[in-house]
Amino acid sequence: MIDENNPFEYVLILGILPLLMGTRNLLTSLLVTLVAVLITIIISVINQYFIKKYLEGKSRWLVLIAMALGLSYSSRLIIFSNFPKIINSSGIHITLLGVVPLVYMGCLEKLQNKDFLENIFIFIVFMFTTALFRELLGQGTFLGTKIIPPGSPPLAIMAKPAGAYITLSLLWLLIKVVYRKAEDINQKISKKESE
Amino acid sequence: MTDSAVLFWESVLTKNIVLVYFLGILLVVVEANNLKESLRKGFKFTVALLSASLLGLIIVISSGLEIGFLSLWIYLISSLIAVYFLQQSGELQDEWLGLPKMILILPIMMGLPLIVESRGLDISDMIFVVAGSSIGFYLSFIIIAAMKEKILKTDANIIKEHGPSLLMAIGILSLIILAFVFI
Repeated sequence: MIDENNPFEYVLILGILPLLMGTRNLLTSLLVTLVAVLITIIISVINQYFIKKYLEGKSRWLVLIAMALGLSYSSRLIIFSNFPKIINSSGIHITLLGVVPLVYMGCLEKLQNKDFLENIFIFIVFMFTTALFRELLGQGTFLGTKIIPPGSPPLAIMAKPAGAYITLSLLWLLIKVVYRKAEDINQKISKKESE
Repeated sequence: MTDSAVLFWESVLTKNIVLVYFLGILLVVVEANNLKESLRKGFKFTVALLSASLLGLIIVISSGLEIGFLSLWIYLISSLIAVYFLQQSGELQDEWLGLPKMILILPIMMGLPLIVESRGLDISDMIFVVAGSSIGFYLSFIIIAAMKEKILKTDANIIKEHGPSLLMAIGILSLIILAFVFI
């Protein structure tokens, strides 16, 4: 289904849940990204220096899941005291960040440290791009400030769940096309060099 | 229609757990491969989802716990029990991109009771919502499996990139179910 060598596609599929549910507007995406990235880094460090040494197989994953859930629930409580409106609309999704595949990315054996940081950066870019697109088109605002002139209604569908699916599918298609083009160019260059 | 019937149909359609709440989307995209196989596979997942959610909710309600930290762990444990039985039946056994496949089902199994709990319903209405959401999940599972099967058979190059095409089709499906808002 996905090209594992394409890091963009890899991050998109691992983080599909936060990318769909946390991109209704920029502020929500900022908080969801922050929580997801922090949990990913903490879980990765704990796994690398403690868990990996003592546990293996299923038990290792169960401990990691329990830890990630504890962290996501704590984040929910912290966000609730500062941004209650966001918790009302996305609270359950923030709690569930603890069981999103993306947060276990750093625990995968084959992933190098450099790739891990690169993937986190890609995830941040994806979150903000999708949220910016959806907030601008769906609500006509930027960080809550109206920027579309009065009289031109926003494209309400983009603020709805369907808008999240459509935006993400377009982003995915763009990634595939650009990545393939870049690969073709690289192949041509290496061919020319060998000639 | 009675209130309970409205809650039930709402959970199947306009508040569909996959198409509107996004929970279980990764499970559906990864596991639903063709229509024939998904009828059986989807049924197993639906029964597991229904049992795990009801078990978790019954324990939380009967123990008198407030919404909070402890209920989260009860939902995790009930989900893991359901995952165990699913694995015994031959599902979710191998790995997906280096991760155990059980991670794919946890968001929906834990998310459904959390959603139901947050709505502050009474027990009978909770059962209607859980049943409606489980049926909504099954319908989404088989419809998406059918769409995936069709997409894989196409000759058009752009549609062959079936990840984006499938997501676009799910988006349109999510739009269609909003038409049932009159319920």
